[in-house]
Amino acid sequence: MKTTSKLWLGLGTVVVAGTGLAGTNFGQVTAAPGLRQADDIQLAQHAAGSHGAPAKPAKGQGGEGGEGGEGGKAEALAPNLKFARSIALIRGHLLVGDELVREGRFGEALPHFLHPAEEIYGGIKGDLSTYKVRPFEAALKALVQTVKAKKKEAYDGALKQVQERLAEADVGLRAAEQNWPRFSVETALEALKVAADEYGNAIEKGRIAKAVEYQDSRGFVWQAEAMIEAVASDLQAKDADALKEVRSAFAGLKQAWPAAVAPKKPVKDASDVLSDIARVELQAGNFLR
Amino acid sequence: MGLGETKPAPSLPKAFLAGMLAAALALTGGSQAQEQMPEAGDTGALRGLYRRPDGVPFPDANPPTPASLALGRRLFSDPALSVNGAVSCKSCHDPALGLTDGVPIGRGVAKKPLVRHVPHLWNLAWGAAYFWDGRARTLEQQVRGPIEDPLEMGESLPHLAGRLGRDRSYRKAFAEAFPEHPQIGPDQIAAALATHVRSLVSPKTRFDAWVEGDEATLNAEEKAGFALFNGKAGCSNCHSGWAFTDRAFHDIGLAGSDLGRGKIIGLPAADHAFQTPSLRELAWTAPYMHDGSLATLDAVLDHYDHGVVRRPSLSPDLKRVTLTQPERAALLAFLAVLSSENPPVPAPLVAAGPAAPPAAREGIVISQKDKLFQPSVVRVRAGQSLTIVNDDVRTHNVRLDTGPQKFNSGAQEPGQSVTLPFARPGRYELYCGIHPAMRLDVSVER
Repeated sequence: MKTTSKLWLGLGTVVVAGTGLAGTNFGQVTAAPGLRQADDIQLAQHAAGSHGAPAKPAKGQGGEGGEGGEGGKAEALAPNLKFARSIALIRGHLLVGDELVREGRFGEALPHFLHPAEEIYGGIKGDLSTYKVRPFEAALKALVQTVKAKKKEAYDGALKQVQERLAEADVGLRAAEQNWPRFSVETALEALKVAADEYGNAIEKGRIAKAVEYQDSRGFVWQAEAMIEAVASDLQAKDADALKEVRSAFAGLKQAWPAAVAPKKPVKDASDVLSDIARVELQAGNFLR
Repeated sequence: MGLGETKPAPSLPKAFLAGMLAAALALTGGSQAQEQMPEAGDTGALRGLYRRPDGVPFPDANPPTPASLALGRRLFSDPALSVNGAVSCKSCHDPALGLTDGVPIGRGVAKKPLVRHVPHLWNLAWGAAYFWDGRARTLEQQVRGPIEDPLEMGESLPHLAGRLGRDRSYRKAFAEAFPEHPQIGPDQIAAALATHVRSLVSPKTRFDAWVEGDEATLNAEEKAGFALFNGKAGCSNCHSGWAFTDRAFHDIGLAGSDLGRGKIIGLPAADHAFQTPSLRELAWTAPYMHDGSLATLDAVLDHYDHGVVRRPSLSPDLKRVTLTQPERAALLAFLAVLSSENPPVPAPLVAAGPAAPPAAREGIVISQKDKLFQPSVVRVRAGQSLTIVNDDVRTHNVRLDTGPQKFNSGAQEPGQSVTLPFARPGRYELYCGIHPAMRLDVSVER
């Protein structure tokens, strides 16, 4: 079995944290200040951990925000990786939000459009010029409005504007990173770490208590897979067996999310998901050498 | 000379034309593009041109009251105004989408594409004409249009009035809003809706704080963008004043066969011309243009850079805009400060007090320089004539549509003058068909 010490250290941390997450209540769902919590709108803003509103999340607790980051580790990342991770998380949110919009579930989709604007963008705002990305806070907020208004056609146009900015981020990052396939894999693994935290947060007492967290984690996993697939031809050339194993691991991992709408009872518990993610990490390590 | 005769203005000074040419060159800028952040320079005097008015102007004939505002707001949101009960004004002018619909071309009750892009409704209280082509002179006229348009709401106003009259709560609301004319009729429906639309004033943004003297509110790039807006980029040629519109009609070179204002006033010089929209809350009101064809502000700048269709009706106020990347970034940064940072809600309503009319002046020669009749209020004796000189750089169209004496100058090109004899005493309101905010109030005395 091929692996690296760097990954094993990361995995060890995740496993320890994951064990603690399973079945643990990590705070109440409350409305963000200034937001009304409509009957059909679920806002996930945790008192501790997830979604990164606190600048410094408690150690070992999840979080995806630009400032706090997953378990506080985002701050320790290299600047390019930290920025790329935030872009990946925005994409993950949009991905699962888009799934819900296409099913006509605008209310359920809304948090996934609010989070990038309210929680992630602030953390990367100062870095945009470094990567030659034009500001897109207004575009993110305008996208939110189309979801609030439940206007599908307007939503499509607004989503396109945001995606164009995210594509600019890819261009900027590619210019800054010599080994794009390797960097893509690294970023995907960072997104998976956040997915693990989110999934753990979603489950309470053997049930999916926080659908938004379940959906977040789905979006991040799907985004991580998309990033791997985007560089698959390079990875294939480097280690075809490892890519095959990564794909197999993703297929197993994704079974935890049978649909964008959360099942009442989880298909996999948090530790199973962590194991699946560890399997992806383990095989993906072959591309990081 | 007969009524409306047009002739070259003998007194147009060459120095004036030379000055305008120099100004135009200054606006378009030179070719020495520098890849540096532009500097704002001294913008103190310019800022004053963008100060917000103290209150919202309401017409004497339709003053706002709490009851009429509430009724207008209710009607605006009520899909019962449409023939099938499915579409309200708000369906297309959605407050969540900046009072527009977020799509290039919307659909109404007929579920067919509308003729033009749904415009936003910010700051129409200051309007001089309404719809993209200005075919309505007042908001009271304008609000009737969408209700009765077969593509939009498809209802007839008399029929609608009858239906609303069968609703007890509407009967009460109309009686409270219009105690002197408590019946429910087309005029009352239009008056209430117009009052509501007049109340939709864009809120203050960081730009307003800067105009009011908070120097630190805008950063250097945003200030540089303001200078470009008023200088090299030439945006303020049309997007002038606190609402960033001259309320005039311009052909800005968008492709298409829609004749816009030209068709309304029968003037080829105004072909393809559409009303300048307010730039307030721009970030929330994409896509842009009368045809909704430009999805982003980048696309708008691209259009002005290299997308303009050249044709005879092209607005003389439109300059070819070629900006360096830093200039472009600065201009976009400035445009961003014209929008609220969160979804905009209308500013608290403060109705303006009655405006003191400018003192009437004796005079028989009227200037049209810079899209203004000067003087704008004049007094003449019956039998005297007024000469209106186009000493401007753009085509005008002097019109008199009301009263016993009608007049239409046709295309009054720069350098031409028109002479109007006034035989009968009375008050006459002349305006420009291309720049309807230009108004000339003439009192003819015995």
